[in-house]
Amino acid sequence: MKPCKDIQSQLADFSVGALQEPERAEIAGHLQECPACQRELRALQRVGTVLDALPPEEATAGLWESIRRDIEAPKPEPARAPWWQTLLPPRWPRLAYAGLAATAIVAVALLATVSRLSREEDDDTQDFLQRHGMLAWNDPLSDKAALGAMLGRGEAERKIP
Amino acid sequence: MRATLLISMAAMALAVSAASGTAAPTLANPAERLRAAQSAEEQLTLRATLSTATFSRQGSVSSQVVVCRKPGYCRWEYQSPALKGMVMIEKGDAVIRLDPAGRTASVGCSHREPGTFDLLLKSYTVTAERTEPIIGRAADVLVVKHREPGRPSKKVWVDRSTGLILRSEYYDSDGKLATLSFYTDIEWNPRLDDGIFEIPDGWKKVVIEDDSGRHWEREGLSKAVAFDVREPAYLPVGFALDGFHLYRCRCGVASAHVRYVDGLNSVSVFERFTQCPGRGGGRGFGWGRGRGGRGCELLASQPGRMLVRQLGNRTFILVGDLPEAELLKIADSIK
Repeated sequence: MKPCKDIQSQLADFSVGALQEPERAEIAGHLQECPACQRELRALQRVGTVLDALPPEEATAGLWESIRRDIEAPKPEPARAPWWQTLLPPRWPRLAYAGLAATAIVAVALLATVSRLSREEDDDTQDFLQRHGMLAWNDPLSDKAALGAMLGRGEAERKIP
Repeated sequence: MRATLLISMAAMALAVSAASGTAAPTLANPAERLRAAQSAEEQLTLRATLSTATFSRQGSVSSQVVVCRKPGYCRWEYQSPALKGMVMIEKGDAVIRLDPAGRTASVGCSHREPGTFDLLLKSYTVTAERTEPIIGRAADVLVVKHREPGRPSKKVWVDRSTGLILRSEYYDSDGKLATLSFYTDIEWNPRLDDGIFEIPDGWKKVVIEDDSGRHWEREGLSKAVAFDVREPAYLPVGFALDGFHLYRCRCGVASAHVRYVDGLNSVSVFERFTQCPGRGGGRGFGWGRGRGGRGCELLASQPGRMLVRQLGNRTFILVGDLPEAELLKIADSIK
């Protein structure tokens, strides 16, 4: 029989029905005999009830961006001296970073200016993008939840006077 | 003697199995696993919560979505305040968008082309990367990559027991994560009332006139738009014609929409008169102000790019997730 510590680490999945049959049955059997784990499950279920009652909140753009950066970030490799440290004196990297950052800011500002469109042109852009997206609805592996959000967002933005 | 032979054969089988790395639980051919996952979700009945986010240069769109699915039907209800409770419903070939603000139901048709998955396999490889748990379920992580660099790719987490895609990540042609969706909880086989897949009583029903699901013949479309519809002579490797469609812009003027697909990615070529009568004052479309003498302008969209080219009295708008050079090459090949 598994120790309570192992059982409790799976109680969250158990409480939302996310466990496969052999594990589910094992935990259900343990719960019948273990008051401590029963208490833990009841506490989890109370938290779930409270969370379900809360209205949905919009995730901030910053949160999603951080998730994206986290996914895209290369996985850490064993520490190794960067190649530029062999070429540059130790105080240079900070200056180099500062220079790069300044260049990036200027580039972003320039791009933002160049690609600014009038509302009418923006609407046209949205129309073509929406149409393009709509026809991808039944393509293999199309992410319909994401497509729906894009189509809906385009509509919502167009309705703003 | 027979026992010795059997033991030797078993030992040989074990040795071969260990050498080929198949001793661990094996995946069926990853490509076929992915093909099965495509149709698996349509057979399932579930109520679930899913998070989705799309990243663009203009910002991100994200929402929690309540998904209700049963064979032949699916409903996505968006919880994000920005999407104002919008609902998408799929019933067979019909796609319905419910907009609660105007109590309006827009009804369109999505075309289902068999065989597009085979097209995908011509240009993309499917590999099984690993197995990992997601919401407490064992999932196989499958990676779909183009054989050439600079093309979009996809990573999906396929539930081992049901084939449902539990998580999906789309990387654009620049290698950036462009779309991310994942289930956060799933209730299997709930009782789902048919009514939730219907347009609510009293709502205004709008049938999308230029039915995106309809495929035209080139000649018929040319007649409908009053000009000879042109096609690019160049297409990137792996792309094939999907179909000719009629597209009516918001001023009501008919335009041509020619679509090309490679199974995962698509390119749209819209063609219209530059002097759009509906825009007033002969202002025209206004974007083709030149790019290196080509009469092209490249605009950022996400995922992918949009390019506008003027040619005589016609404007071509290309939309697709391709490197800039490829999109320009397609545009340049339209004569």
